[in-house]
Amino acid sequence: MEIITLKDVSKVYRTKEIETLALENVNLEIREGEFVSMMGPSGCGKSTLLNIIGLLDTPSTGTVSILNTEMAKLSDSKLSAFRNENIGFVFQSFHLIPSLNVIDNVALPLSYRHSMSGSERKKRVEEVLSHLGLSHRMHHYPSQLSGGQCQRVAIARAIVGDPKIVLADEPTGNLDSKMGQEVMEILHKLNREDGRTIVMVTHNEQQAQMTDRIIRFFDGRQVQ
Amino acid sequence: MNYFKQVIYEMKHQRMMTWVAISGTALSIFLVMAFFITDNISQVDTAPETSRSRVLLGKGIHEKEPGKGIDNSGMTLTLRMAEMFYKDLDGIEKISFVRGDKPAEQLSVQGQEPFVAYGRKVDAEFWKIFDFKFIDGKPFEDSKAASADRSVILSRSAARRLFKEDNVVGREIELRMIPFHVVGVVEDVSPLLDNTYGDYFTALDVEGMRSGENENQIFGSLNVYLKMKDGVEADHIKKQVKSRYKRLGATMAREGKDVVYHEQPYTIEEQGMSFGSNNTPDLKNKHRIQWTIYTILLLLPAINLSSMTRSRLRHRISEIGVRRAFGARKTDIIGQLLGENLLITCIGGLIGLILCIVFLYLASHLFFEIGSKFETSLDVLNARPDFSMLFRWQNFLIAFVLCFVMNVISATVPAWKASRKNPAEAISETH
Repeated sequence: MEIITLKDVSKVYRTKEIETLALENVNLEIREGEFVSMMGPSGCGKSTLLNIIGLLDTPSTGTVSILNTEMAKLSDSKLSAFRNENIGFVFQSFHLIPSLNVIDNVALPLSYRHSMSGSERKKRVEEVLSHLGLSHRMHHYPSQLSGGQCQRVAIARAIVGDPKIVLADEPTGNLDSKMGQEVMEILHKLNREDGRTIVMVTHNEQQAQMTDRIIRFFDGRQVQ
Repeated sequence: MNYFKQVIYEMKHQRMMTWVAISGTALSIFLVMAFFITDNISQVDTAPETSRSRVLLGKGIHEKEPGKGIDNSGMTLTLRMAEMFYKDLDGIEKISFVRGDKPAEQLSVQGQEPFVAYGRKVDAEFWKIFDFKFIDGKPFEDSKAASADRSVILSRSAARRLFKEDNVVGREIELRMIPFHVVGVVEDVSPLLDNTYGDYFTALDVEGMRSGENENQIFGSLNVYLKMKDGVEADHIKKQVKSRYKRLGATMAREGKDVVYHEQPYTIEEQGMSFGSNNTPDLKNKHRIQWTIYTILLLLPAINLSSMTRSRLRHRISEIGVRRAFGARKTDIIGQLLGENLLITCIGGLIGLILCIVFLYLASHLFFEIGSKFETSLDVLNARPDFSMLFRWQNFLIAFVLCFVMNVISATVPAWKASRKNPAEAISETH
């Protein structure tokens, strides 16, 4: 069953002087539980596509459906709620909030679930941190963690709300190979054991080969 | 709770900006409070002027003789004029006649060096309008008899200076070398209370003054205090006085003269304004100036906070993008940023309040000195402005709420702009 469907998606960035075509007629279907990697040279549009799938950006033309819901029909606050419940993000440079400690960073998605009590949130955060081997770092701040630990915290934040989809934008790009391997193992585990759909942008051919499918882009077009 | 922790963290890590924002807010609240206080001093109920909102003052008169180019005004009235304008008015509970001047006279006891003290000459009703605390003795009830007996009521400071004690009823003092006997001692009154301050009080024989006046005289030596009945508006009294002025004006017109009505009798707020007897207190203008000052004082931290908020947000755009990615709605972002500003306002407000209280404790004598028109040689005990006279929680709350509203307005625009930023662009922005 398709969890993500993109039909004729194009994205054009316009300024007064220039018009840049970032994506051109992308058609894509990703099945539930699939681990898909997207590859291509820098500037080919893969991160733009990831942002569109993650509802962080809107396509100029075309439609995006996630979990059989057409996203263009949702208001901004419904899109926020949809993201909160169904999509988790892992960024290349982690994007942890420096002023929050690990526990509060991980709890961030849950803080926007007003139906969840404080004790439920705490319990869920502790479970996820323990699952990722970060229990001993709960009260540390991002500046007190290594890159690998930061990315693990970012993954914990991405999955704490139990989303069906995890979008990872070059999750190992800022890590050394050992830590990168560790992060990849976690992502595979999330896919295999929890059945989460993972869409990952990467430049690493070896990591891409380990996923279910590779989608390649060049100059805004899907080439494979 | 997260917001709170985060704000504290941000404040610690952006010390300079935090310091400027908080100190700006604190200073504004302090300055607004200082303005409130100076305005308060002249209006707030405080012993013995415990019914200031109900007490009106009738004083001078302004006469014109246009044909001759004559323009006369004086700060005091004859008894005939005072009665013509102010006696038997509807809505008045009590009326008191007092000498308008507060002469500095030499006070002594036999065998001692005299010293200069400020005195007031008042009738028996004066003690019923104002709420003096008698330490010893009691007010005189019959002005004529008290005047004939040469009774005097001393302030506590004067009593101590003369006798080194407070309970001195029955003792004799010399006023202008004339013997007077003490019938009462009252608690000291701050010289800021213009209507009641005095080092000693003698009795005014109102009836005795009548014989000394001639019919055509309008400038005398009297002021009149009127205590309105509860619930009566000053305007109701002013209307009646105005019609009496008109009647007098019609009579005087036959001689080519006129009297100019200057909105008398004056409320406590009007009394606090600096003016002579030939112009009208312009309360509207006073309020306009006051609110302009308040607005400027409050705009300063608002502008300060607005630029601080914008600056802080520039550093946090990526964080806002991340929050949006994980489900924050635009309203959540605006709420968070306004909450942070509220915290800054609260901390700034608290510091402003502490500054204000410390200032009042340490420097209230400045109000005392600035406000006093008297150079009494007495060490006026307990006459420093009472703390409750200077500080009112209502004023702090008003200053705080105004400051908060300004801060909210100033933070709303940058917060709203930040919340509308495309999350994908926001995340990729680095500072």
